[in-house]
Amino acid sequence: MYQTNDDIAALATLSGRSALNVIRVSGKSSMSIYKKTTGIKTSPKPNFVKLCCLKNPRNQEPVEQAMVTFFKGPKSFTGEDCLEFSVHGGSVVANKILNILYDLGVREAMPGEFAYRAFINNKIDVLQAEAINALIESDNDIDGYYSLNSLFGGFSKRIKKSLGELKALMALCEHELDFSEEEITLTSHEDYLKRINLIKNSITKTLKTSYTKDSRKSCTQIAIIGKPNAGKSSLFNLLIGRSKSIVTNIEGTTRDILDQEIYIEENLVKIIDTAGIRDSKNKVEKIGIKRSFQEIKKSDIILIIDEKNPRPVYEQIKKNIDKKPFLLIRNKIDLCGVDKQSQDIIKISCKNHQGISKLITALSTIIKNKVGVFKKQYLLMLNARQEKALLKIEEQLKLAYEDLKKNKDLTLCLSILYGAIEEYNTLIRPVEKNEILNEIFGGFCVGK
Amino acid sequence: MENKKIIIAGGGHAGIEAALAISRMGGSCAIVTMDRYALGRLSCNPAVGGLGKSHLVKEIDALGGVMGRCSDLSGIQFKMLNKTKGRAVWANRVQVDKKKYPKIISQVLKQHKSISIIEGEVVEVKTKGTRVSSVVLRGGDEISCSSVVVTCGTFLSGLIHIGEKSFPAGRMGEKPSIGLTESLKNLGHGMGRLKTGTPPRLLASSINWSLTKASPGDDTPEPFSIYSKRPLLLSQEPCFIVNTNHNVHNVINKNIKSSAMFSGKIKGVGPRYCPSIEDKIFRFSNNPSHMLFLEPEWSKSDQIYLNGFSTSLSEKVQINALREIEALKKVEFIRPGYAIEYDYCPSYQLQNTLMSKKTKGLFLAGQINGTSGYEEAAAQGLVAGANAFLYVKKEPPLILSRQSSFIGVMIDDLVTTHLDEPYRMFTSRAEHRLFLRADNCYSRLYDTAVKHNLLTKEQALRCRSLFDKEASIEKWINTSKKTINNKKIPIKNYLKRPEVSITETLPINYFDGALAHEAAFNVETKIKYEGYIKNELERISVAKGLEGLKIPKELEYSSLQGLSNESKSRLEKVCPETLGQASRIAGIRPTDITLIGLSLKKLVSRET
Repeated sequence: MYQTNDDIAALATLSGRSALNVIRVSGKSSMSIYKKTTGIKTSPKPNFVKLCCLKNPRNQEPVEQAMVTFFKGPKSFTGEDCLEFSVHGGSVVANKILNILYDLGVREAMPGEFAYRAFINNKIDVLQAEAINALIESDNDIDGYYSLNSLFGGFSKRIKKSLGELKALMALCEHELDFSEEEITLTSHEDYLKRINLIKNSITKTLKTSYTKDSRKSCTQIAIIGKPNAGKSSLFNLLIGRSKSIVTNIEGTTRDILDQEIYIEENLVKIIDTAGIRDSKNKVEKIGIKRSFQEIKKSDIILIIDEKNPRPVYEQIKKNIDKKPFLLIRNKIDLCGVDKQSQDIIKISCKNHQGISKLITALSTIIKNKVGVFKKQYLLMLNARQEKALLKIEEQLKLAYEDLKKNKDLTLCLSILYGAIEEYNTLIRPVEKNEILNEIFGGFCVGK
Repeated sequence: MENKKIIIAGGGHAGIEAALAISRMGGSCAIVTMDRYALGRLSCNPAVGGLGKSHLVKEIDALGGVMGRCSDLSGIQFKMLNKTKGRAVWANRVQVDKKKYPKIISQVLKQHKSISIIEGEVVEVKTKGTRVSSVVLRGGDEISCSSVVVTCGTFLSGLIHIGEKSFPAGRMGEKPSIGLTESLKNLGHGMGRLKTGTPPRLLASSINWSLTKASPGDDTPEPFSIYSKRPLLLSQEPCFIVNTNHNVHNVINKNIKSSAMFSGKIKGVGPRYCPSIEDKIFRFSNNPSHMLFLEPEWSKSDQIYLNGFSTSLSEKVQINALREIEALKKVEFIRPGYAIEYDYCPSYQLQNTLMSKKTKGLFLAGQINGTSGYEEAAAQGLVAGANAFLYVKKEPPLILSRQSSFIGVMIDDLVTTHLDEPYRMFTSRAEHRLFLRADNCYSRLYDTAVKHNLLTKEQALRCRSLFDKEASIEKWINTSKKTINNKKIPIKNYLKRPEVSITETLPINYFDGALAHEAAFNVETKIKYEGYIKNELERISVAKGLEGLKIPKELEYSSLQGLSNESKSRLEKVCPETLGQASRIAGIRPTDITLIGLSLKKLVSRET
């Protein structure tokens, strides 16, 4: 797939304007590249960051001040000797350094090559490699959390355990077939059936407690609902920190839905501003209101805001909210002060920024609970390839069970179980299947 | 003019099949044996076949070999084992008359005029460059030849241990062979040491038979060979069962130090699957008793083989232990059990033709390669003999793949994996066990056998008549339907039901004639196993893909980055010829295979 005996380098950070850039090098010449670019004659201490002045080896022209770290293989990401340069942001410096490296004989890395080398050198398995990719692509805390779990081997451990149990069962079965009945009967058919079922159930459970990225909404959706001019857009703008919505004094201004993803504490959420709910004869407004109700349906949390009392609004749309968590918000307290309204209504003033932190805290609590519920329910995040492989394994195990029950022939059952082993192998070590490897590592971005 | 002579060093099961194969193919050879009356002698177990081994015997038969036929002619008990398990693991076990078997072998050998017997002992193999040029016998005689097949069994520097006594021997009562080991070493082969055990022989009249349990043979004994006359008309003799007990185990445990194995006297490694009784009691200490089989060594013999009691304990301990069994209270030994230690040549030094990688024209087969069993030896002998002949004729060799036969599995295992104990065949060694069955061995190997002239005209005819019968039965099945519950279903689907048998389904006239029952059984198995075999074959084709990727000899593993030093040394030792073979070497990781595969592609692209 990729050449693995030369040196590679790539920009690990996104090119464009940023404060820092990281350039990675991997390969057996890392040490000599270090010496040539820094001019330092002594060998670098591994895992130590050193401030160096990088020079162009051709003309000794100073290029950059960089923090350089040398990693000695196999104690590195790729398993080979590695170098990492932390340099100032911007493309000028990065390109200069990369050109120097190419000049020294280093090759520009292809997407996924670093991870591929880590895989080849047995530092990570395929599932972990895919987890790295998933982690990078995570745009929210939840996917990130699960990707991290897989990266640390959470998924691999489960699969290896399951595979180990299956192999042990098959070894027992083979052993029994190698001895005649007069010598030993190691275990009964019922026993085999029970054990196959156990392994199948653990795979079923894994599938039930995992989700695929595409099947899950990427983040929690929060809809701001209320009568016209209740302050929905003001709240929306406040939360997103920028004037996005059109705020005017005229009722019925927000016609369409506006939404924005923001972070509330560490959770990514989508705030949705809606058109005020009222009886309207205006055709366009009617459409906007209809969409507001659709948003209630699609959202996870509902913020009901009113300038006087949000509770009657709630009563009106109670059916639409159903069991979803919601907050009752009374806005514009700057106008009429706080009165004896019940405790569960959050009192704010968008204009004066009053009560906002209380609102954020209450909202954050709801979000955390939701995440907590989700995390209890799901243990793994899978990609499409992994889910497909698990489904195949489950199917084979079911087949093996049914077959042994029907035919009472261990040799036939075993042959199906060998098929299941193939599926396990495709999942964790598709080494003989280059297309799969291409798919996995080709989908990475450069510098990974 | 090059001398085309082929020498077979040793007249055991391997040597005999080698010589006969050469003769059938049209060549000639000489068997050099220390005792012409010991040809085909069964050293240990009086039985041929059994689990795993039965498949080898069938395949030998399919290639025209004689072990199956001779067993049928000298059998005194026939038993089909594992009948409660799937057909792929049924195994025929035939107890043979130990006196009759070698006589039948001798008769067969006499019919082949191109095989000469030389009484002597090969002590040296000489070469010109790297090619075999002659052998030297004890006493100095030198015979020039182009090829040697070494089949000397357990005789090389054989050392027998009984308790603390030890003395040189190749078999009890026979001298060992000294010298050939050195010769092989001088030719650059590494040699090792192995151990195998054999149980005591008991005096029949000293046993209280009324206290034993009889274990008779099958009601319808099934012959090994399709060339044997059916039905087998013989009066079978039962064997008898006794059980060890607490007291027996105590005696052994107390005296375990007198066992040559435990006292550390034997340097060789012993077989895991033929554990000595002291091994069994030590390892399975939870088992309160073990079964022992009393097997007559020939028809109505007074010499009883005690199966399950392989040992190297001292004679006194053996007899004291056995006398703790009721039926054996007064037992007497004809011969005590003993262990034999012998030289062997680790087989990764061979190619998959069984020819040495270092010396051209030198073939090794049988126990010398580290296998254990008559059947394993005979199968190797057949292949080695055939390849010796093809080598001398400068024709392409006979190579049996893992996907084609158990013999192929065995040879591939021998030349690829590092053995740390004697190798014996189990069905679990084959990935394609459903496909490699006894009932289809003739169709699997017919083409190969005919291509190399390994079958006589009559044998080939008999095979073809079997195939014809199978074809006609299949035709009927494919074109017939059965009415069940007013619905018509194809007979083929009906037969796939586990409870349905072909004997109730097939019209009676199909059961007429020779081999009709065999044909019906084969077709039935094929149909019932069809789906499973299809999946297995798909896996075979994937494996074949890897087999097809040849690794050129120039590939330097040391240059491949990413291979661990351990993997590199293993690859350099075995020098696999294909990527598939490389993947089977113990300890090689899948990522290693990827790396090798990548470099192969690079080599290819450099050439194009």
